[in-house]
Amino acid sequence: MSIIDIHCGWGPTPSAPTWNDVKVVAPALKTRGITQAFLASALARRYDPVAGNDSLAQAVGQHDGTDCDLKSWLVCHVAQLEEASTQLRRYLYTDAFVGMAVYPDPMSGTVVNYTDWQELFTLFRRYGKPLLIETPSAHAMAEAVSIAAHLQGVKVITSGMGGEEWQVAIELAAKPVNLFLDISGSLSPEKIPFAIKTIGGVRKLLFGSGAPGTDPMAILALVDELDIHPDDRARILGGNARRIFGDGTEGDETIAPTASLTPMGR
Amino acid sequence: MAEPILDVFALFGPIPPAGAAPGTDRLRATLTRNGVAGAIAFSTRGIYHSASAGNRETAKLCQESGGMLLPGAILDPRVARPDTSHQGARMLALFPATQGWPVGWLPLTQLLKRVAGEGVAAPLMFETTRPGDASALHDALEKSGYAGPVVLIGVDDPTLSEALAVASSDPKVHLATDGLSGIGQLAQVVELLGAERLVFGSGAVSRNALSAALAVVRASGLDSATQAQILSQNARRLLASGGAL
Repeated sequence: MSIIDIHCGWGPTPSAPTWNDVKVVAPALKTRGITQAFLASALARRYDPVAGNDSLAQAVGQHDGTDCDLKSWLVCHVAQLEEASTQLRRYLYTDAFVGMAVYPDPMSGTVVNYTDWQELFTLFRRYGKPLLIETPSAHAMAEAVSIAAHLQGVKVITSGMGGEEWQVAIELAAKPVNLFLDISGSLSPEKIPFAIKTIGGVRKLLFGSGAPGTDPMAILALVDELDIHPDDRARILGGNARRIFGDGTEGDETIAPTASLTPMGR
Repeated sequence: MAEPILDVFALFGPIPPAGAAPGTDRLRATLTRNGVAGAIAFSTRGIYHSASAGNRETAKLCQESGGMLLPGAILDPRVARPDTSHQGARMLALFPATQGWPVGWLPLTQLLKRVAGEGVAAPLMFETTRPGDASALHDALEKSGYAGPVVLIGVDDPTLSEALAVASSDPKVHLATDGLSGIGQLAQVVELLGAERLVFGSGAVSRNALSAALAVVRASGLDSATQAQILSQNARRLLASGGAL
């Protein structure tokens, strides 16, 4: 069975000091059964988006797919709009980048919201690729739901399930048809069963680890423990990602913009 | 045959406003399913509502568990005259971040002094999820003269270097595995402190999944003898040092 980790970090940490070397990362992911991973640069996320994205593009570009197929997220910040525009043009037309990833402000911790980030989203949506938003709290999820409502037709993937506030976050995320959740974040055994019950199935759930901050084996253990049909397990671990990111094997998911809510005849 | 696994930090009961079912049925079933022989159990009632009520509940349910669960007792320095009749507990625990009190706090030092004065030297489990808490605990332990071993829980990336510094300067301080779910974290602790200072604690079932906690140890790259130390031997040594209260 193929396992796709849709949100994995890239960059050294004190405990994983070589997590910026494909010769370390790819085998480590393979050992854990992961066949494909979408990486996001920690440098881009915390300090320098341009240098971080370029460095990741170079590293992944030199990787021949041995052990694990690696692709990248383009990390952007609205404070660097011009640079983001250049990098979107440069990278998002290539297969090596799966979409754009945005994170809470590295200095203030302010979560991503539509009003402040609108210009970047307007630039991005023309590329037709998924948008990943990190949601470490219920508040962050509420903002992501609002963003998804504004970006109808864009597949919005939230990462982190609201952290320890997973219950409220999942309830918020259940309805929007263009919003999906990776299952990283809290390691509560209640979280994924609650999501399946609240959402009414596994269609919106994707395997994401947040490695190296969390060992993917911990998240995989949460999935192993679920009392669900093997087909649903396969969907969480890879099938839904193939559908959303469109490799053609599971049928690409096209999300049509919702019809106008203006009553007919006006 | 592998040595029986012991979890020093098991948590049962709901987390407000909702969460796991009350009682220890789910905890015991989870331990059995994951091949864990026993656990030190703490009640969420003792953290979120009343330490003495939670500790009474824990003692009763552990007595009914056929030896699988050993009681832990929660200490709460927010209570002016905390209940220190520990109901046969094998470990004591404090949860400053969850309960929202500062560690550099006179009520804590006084509580630890009082417990130490009663001749208690049981392992003391201490939540250190906030930067600064482990350092403040280090000072409180010195001032209070508490002599028992200490286990830091909730240590993660933001607090790992601090926890390592505190443990390096005090041989009675240990780290629990519950917050150390990142790649390379357990190996780093073993490298810098030694395997004898790392003890398996999961936070299951109310906070974390036991299967996830075990998976992290097994994926750590540590050899099987070191894993056995973490999963079994270290906890037994700690418990043997404290006796029942």
